[in-house]
Amino acid sequence: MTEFREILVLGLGRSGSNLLSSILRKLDGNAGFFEIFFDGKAQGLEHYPAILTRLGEALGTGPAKPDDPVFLKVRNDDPVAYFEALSQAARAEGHVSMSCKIFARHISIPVLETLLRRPNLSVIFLTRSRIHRYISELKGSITRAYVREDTTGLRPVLSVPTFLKAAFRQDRDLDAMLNAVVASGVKVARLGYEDDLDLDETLRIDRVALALQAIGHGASFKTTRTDAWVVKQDSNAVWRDKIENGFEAAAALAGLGLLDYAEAPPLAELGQSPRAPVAEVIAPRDAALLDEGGYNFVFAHDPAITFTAIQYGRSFFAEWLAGPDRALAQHRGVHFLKPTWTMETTDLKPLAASLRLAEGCNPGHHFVALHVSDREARKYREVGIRSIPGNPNLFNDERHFAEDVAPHPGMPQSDAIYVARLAPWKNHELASALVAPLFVYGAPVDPSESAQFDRLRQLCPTAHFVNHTLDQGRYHYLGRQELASVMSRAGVGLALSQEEGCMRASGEYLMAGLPVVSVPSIGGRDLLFTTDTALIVDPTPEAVRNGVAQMLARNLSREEVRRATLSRVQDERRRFCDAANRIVASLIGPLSPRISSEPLLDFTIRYVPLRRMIEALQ
Amino acid sequence: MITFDGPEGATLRALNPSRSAVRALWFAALTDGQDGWGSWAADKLKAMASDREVIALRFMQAAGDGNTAAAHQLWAILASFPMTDTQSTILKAARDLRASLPF
Repeated sequence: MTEFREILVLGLGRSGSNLLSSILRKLDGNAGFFEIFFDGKAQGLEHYPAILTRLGEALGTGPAKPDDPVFLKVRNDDPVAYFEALSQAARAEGHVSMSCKIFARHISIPVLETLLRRPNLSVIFLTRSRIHRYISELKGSITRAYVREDTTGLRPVLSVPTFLKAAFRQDRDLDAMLNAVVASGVKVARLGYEDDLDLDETLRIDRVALALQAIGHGASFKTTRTDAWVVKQDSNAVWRDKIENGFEAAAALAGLGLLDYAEAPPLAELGQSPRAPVAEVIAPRDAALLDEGGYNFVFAHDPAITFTAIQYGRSFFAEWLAGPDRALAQHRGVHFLKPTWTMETTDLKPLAASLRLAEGCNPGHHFVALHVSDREARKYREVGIRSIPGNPNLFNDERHFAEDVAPHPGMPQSDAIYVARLAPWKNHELASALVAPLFVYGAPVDPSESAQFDRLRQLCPTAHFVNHTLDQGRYHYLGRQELASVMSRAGVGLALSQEEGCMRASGEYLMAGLPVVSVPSIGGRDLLFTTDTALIVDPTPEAVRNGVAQMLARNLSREEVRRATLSRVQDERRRFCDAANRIVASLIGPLSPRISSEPLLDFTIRYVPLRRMIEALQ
Repeated sequence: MITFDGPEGATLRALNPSRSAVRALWFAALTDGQDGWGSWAADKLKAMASDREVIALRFMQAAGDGNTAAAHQLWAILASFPMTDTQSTILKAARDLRASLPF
C-alpha cells in the first residue's frame, strides 16, 4: 500500500502560491489545502466537508468551520496536533496525499521543526523576485483584493527604505525556515514564480511535475486547466511600470548597490528549480531539414556556438538536432536563434517544444533566442525559452554604407527611398503622396509580387522603380555598393510596414546617413532610431508625405545621422556581447569562447545552408 | 554605490540587512571599489564561511586585492561546489573572474 504523503509549500504570500496550490489540488488523490495556519481562517478546508467533519470530531470542536474562533483557538493552541488530525482525516477519506502552504510566521520555527520530523513529508519552497512580490503585496494592501481583481492600472508610490526593511526581515524568516528544512533532511525542491509558474499552462504543469518528482512524489493530474478564479492581477512585465516612482526607486536601489538583490528571488542558495530530464526520440533525423533555412553561422566549434534563424516560427536546426542519438560531436554548445519575423504575434509553443526536445536529445547544448522588445522577451519566457536582448540590425556591416558614397549616375535625386520587397505588408502605397520616391525591391517573381508591382506602377506613376529603370525595363539586381550609391540619391529612408522583423534596410539607411520616416511598427527596427534621426508618423500617405518634408527641413547632414547611428550601434553591440557572454558562461562555463561582434557582421545575409553549417561543426 | 562612512551608509546598516543583502552589498562594493563595505560584510558573514557565495566573494576580494595565492586557494574550494545549478550573479561573476586569472 502506498504510504500517505504530505507536501508543505513554504514561502511568502504574493508569490503565486494560490496558483501553485490550485495546481496541487488537481493531483490525483491529493487533498489540496491552502493556508491552513492563516490567522483568521484555515484556508482550503471548506473544499473538503467530510475532512472538516472528521477534523472537528478529532479536535473536539464539534462541526468545524474553518473560520470559527473556537476551532482556530484549538488549532493555534496546538498546531502540531491540528496538523496530525488533518492528515488523519484526509487519509480516512481515502486521499493518498495532502498539500498545504505555510508562510513565514504562520507557525513558529520550533513548530515547523516538529512537523518536519513527520515521515513522508517533503517541502517545496516557492520564491518570487523580492521587488515584484513586495509591489504585489503593496497593491493588495491598498485594494484589499488578493485574488481576481486586475490591479495593473494601480501605481502606488514605493518607499525604498520600507521595501528594504521588509525584504531584510523576510529574508531572515525564510533563512530560518530553510535552515530548519535543511537540518531535518526532508526532500526539498524549489519553484520560482517567474521561472516556473508565470508561464504557459502546459509548461507550468511540467515544472510543477518536475518539482514533485524531485521530492519523490508522483505527478498524475486529474486536469491541467487553471482554475478560473486564479488570474494574474498585474499584467505589467517590468516592476518599474507597476509603481508611480519606478525610475526613482530603481535609481535609489542601484545607488545602494541593491538593485540586483531587489530583483532577485530570495533563497538563491537553494539552486535552480528542477529541469526536464533527457529526452528520448526513436525516429531518425529528418535530413530534409538540412535543406531548409539559409542564414546559419558557426561562431565557435568546441564548445559549439552557433547563430541560426527562426523562420516561420520554426528552428530547423533544433528540429534536426532531435534524434535517437547525439547529433553533434561537441559535448557543449550554445545556439543563438535570430527570428526573421517578430515573435510578438507568433505562437511560440511549437518552437518551445522543439527546443526542449533538441536540448533533451543533446545534453550540454542550449538554445538562446534573441529578443527585440520586452514583450517578445516575455513571450519567450512564458513558454520557457531563454532569451537575451539582440537585434539583428546590429549585425549590419556599416562599412558598406558610408555617408559619402557617390550618388548613382543613373538615378535622379529624390526626397525618399524605400528599400522593400514587393509584398503587400510592406505598404508601398503609403508613399503614394510623395512626388517621385525611389523604390528598390527584390525581383517580382512570385505572382503576388508581380501583381503588387503592377498595382504600384498605377498607384505611384511618378515613382522610380529603380531595379527596372537601371536596365531599361528589365529587372536589375543591385549589389551592396550600387544600393549604397542609389541611397545617396535620396534624402530620407522610408519604413512603411507595421509588422515584420527588424527591417534590415531601416538600419542600412541610418548607417548611410539617411534619416528615417517610419510608421508605428513591431519587429524591432526602432532600436537604432533617435528622436533626431527618425520620425514615426501615422500610417497614411499624407502623414508620410508631411513626415518626409519635416525630416528634410531638419537639414541633418548625412555625417550627423551616421555618427548618431554608429554611436547607438556600438553601445548596443556591446550590450549584446555582454549579455551573450554572460549567458554562454552561465550555460557552459567561464572558459568558453568570448563572443565579439566583428565576426557576426552580415551573417544575417550570408547564405549558408544548414547542411553546410552542420558539416563545418562536424 | 553610497559610501560606507556617509549618512546613507549608516542608515542602510541601521536597517539590519539580511545575509543575502550583505552578500549583495559586498558584491556591489567589489565592483565599485568601496573597501569599507567589504570589510563590514566579511565580518557580518564570518559565521557563514562554508557558504559558496561567501567563498566566491572572498575569492573576488582576494583577487581584487592582488592576493593571488589566497585567490587560488579560495577558487580551489569554490570549484569543489556544484556551480551549474545556480543563477547566482555572484557565482557567475566569480567564474568570469576566474577565467581571466593566470592560474
